[in-house]
Amino acid sequence: MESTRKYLNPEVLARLQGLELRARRIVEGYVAGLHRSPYQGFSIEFAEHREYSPGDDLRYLDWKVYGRTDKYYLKQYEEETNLIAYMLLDTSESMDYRSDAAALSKADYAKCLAAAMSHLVLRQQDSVGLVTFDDRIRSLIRPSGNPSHLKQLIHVMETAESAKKTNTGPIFHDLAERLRKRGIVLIFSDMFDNVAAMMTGLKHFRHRRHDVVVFHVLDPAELNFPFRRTTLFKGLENLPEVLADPRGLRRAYLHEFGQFVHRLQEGCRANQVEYVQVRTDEPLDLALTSFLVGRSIRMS
Amino acid sequence: MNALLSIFSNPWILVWLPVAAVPVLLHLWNRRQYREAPWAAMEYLLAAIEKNSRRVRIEQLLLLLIRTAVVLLVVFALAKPFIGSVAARFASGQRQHQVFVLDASYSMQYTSADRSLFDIAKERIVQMVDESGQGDGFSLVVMADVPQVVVGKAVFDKSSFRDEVSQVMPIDGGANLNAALAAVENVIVEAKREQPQLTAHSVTIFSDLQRATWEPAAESAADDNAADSRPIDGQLAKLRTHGPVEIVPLGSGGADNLAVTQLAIAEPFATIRQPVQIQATVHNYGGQPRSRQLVELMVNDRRVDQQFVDVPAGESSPPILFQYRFDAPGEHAVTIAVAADSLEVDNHRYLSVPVNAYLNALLVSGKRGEAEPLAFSLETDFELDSRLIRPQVVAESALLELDLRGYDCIFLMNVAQFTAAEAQVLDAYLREGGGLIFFLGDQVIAERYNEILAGDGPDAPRVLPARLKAAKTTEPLAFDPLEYRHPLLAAWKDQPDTGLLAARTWRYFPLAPLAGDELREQAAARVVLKFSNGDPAIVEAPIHRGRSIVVATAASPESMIDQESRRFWSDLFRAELITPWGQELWRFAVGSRQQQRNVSVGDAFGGPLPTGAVDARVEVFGPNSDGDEAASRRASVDISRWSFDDTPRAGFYRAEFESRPSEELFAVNVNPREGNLARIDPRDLPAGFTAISDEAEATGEPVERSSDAAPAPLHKWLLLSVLLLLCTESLYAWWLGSRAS
Repeated sequence: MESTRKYLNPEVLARLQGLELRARRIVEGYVAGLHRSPYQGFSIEFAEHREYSPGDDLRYLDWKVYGRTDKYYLKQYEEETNLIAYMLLDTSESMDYRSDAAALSKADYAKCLAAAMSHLVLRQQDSVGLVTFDDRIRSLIRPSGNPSHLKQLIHVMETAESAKKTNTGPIFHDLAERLRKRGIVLIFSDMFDNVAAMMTGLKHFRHRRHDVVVFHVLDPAELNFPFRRTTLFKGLENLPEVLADPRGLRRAYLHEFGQFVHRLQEGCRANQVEYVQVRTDEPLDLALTSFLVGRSIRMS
Repeated sequence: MNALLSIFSNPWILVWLPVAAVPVLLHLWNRRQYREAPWAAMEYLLAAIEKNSRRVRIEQLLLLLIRTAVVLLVVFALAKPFIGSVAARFASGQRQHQVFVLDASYSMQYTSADRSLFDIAKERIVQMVDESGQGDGFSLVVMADVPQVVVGKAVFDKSSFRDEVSQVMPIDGGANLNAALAAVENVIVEAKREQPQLTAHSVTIFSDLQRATWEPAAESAADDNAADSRPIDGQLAKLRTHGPVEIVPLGSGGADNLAVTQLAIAEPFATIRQPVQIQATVHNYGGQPRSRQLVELMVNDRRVDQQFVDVPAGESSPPILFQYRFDAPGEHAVTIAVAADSLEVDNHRYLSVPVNAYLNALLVSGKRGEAEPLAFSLETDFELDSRLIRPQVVAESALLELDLRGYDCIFLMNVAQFTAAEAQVLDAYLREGGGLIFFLGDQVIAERYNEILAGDGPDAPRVLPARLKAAKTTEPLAFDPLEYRHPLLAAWKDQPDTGLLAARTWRYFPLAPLAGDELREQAAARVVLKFSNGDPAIVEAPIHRGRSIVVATAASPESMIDQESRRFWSDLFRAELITPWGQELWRFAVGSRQQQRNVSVGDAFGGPLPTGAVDARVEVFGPNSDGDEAASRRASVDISRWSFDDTPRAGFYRAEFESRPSEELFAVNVNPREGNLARIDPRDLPAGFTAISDEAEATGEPVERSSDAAPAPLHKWLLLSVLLLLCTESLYAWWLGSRAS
């Protein structure tokens, strides 16, 4: 058991090549350590038939319904997955940041987390989709419950490059319009953007009755600002570089950053968005557990 | 460089001042040695910088200032800035008036390694002058028994002031601290009025803190209750209002010193007729007994005798006695010398001894034959070639005609009365140290005596030691010797058969001795002996420098109660009586003459000018043979004296007269009180004095202000400031760090 749990440690995880392997290890390690099944955590009420879309297996078409309504519904809806999880992965440049205290960059950590989540969702026969974005939507993989779907998701994640600035507000609005089916939206981002605009976007998700979870991925350095020596801070996402004595600024920075986090948390609470802060130096099961246990409590 | 020297003891340390730039350079270097880091949360860092950059800059600047100040203060402290006024002047841009007070008492002549404390003090003054800033003014006051303001009005030319300092010579006298402080006060007050450009004043006293000089100050410090009432504190308080008063103690005090403290001849006069007994005393001021110390007797610079004496520690030797017979009349210089030590000036003591072939006595006879018995007795040769006195009998009218200075004593025999002019002449004679002996008699008018001679009349001098009452005739009276207590009767003591008690008196003037305040002298008239009825028979008193004696009755058969019965006033004229009486009276009367030739350092000496030679020049040659012209002063309308008061050195002073070929020798001696080199503890000084430790200089080491003026309060304050700044820096850095963490 210990050999599998060690993969929850980001440092060990960082030594593994390939996101799929990492996701599998995470899930194996996580599941090995569970005492209760986490699957129920994904159980949500599913109240409508899924409409036929091109490519669906015609064997599951409900002809009775077709006979009554002339509309195509998949007849084997009871075997249908009851959950669609949308993974929204921030691939902006700021997510590439990794301090010396962390083994993984925020982007890598977020990818691991998203991949692990996807793996878990697929293991319980549910569907999972993926959106990568920076200042615009870079890729959109429609949800699927096929276990082989994971490979596609991981491939997209692995090939996603971080280069642009975040622009979450409009993107969330766009996605809220495009992700028509109600599901759970899992956002993996450092949320370094205008909080008000982000909140408007999240509110749009909620308006579409999505269940929204924000995984606020942060590097420990961003939370502690541990710098001592004079440092030339090179801004990501086209922000300027600044030469500063970090000791004199630490208190003020932490205050500013705390204000940002606080505004974000308050916005999430106001919009009934679940906020989960994850640090890239912490084991991934902490993030998973804090989320899943939290949901379990909420659902019960 | 001079400006730096005037401010810092170790100006060379200032080459380290650029080290103060190290914190700045480190700061700049630190900023250059930054690391680079990508940063995602830049938006929040920028916001923090925008809101706090000013505060952070101020904090960094403050830290930088503290660190720079620490380095600067350390460098300044090591450079040892001078305390007090100089630094204050530099800080304030003031022009400093430095008043130097140089203790010139003879203890400052203590010599070690060929340099006396006085020389060291002068070097220190010159050094301080050299180190002073441009525009500073300097004054110099020499602290002596009478303080000398050598440079009163501040001079600004350092070179000329150095010359003045170099010319100051030590004085073989004491020092009056209070008077010196008063003189300094005057100098500063004058400078404030006349030289307002000098805006700061400081007083620096160079002294060995010898107890004789500084005891009043130490007593003042010890007695807090009476502090305000002592003159020294008043003077000090005044000076402190003008600026700091600093003392540079010189020497270590307590050094051994052997001094000749007393020298005199036992006889009241010296002649070539008989040897005199010379008596000296040597005092050991040290803590160790001195055995077999050589004491030499020199006469006219020729060693004539010597003795070895043991002197206990802290005590005087027993009297050291020499017998010596002068072989020629004239002025003789007698010197007692002990072996040389570190304080040379009191190793000698000087005595001027005028030696006569014989003494001259003037017998003024108020009546024909009145003085004959006495004159006869004085001329009698009891021993061949031993006659000491030569009497001259004159009538009373000669008093105004003769030059009385030629006489060692004057007998006034039954003179009826005196004129005011005669009284003035007698008064002047007493001022010169002469001896007057009044014998009364049947011609004497008591009222006139009282009026003219006893001061009862207006402006009348007092030359008579007693008032006369109306003459009275009694049964024959003998003398009551009053247990021979009076020194005049010493010759009769234990010799009852010499005839003193055999004399009989039938008529006399009852005498009322004058009190001390009436005589304007310290001592009242004394009764030498009385008649058997209790009335005074002989009264004497020291008046001015001389002595006056009055005998209540006559000493001549010419004074008779009545001619028919041929009853005499007394039978003192009998040869067996008048001879010892005459001898003892004149010996006692002339005793004080010699004292005029021997004075202390700083005292004046002098004498009368020849009659009519009002403008005569008197030249006095001091111990170093430099001639000084004495000032001639007229004592009264018809009596002229000369006087000389420039006696700063001990030794013999020779006076030469333009109007006469003779010369007079005067001995000037130190006050032995100064010979005690024990000094007071600088800590016992009143709080107003700031003592600067300068002990090392007494050893004769080269004067290095840099090492000697070290323990200055400013120096300590700088180091204390460094300590405080270091603590502040640590706390401040810790606070900044704790805020950051």
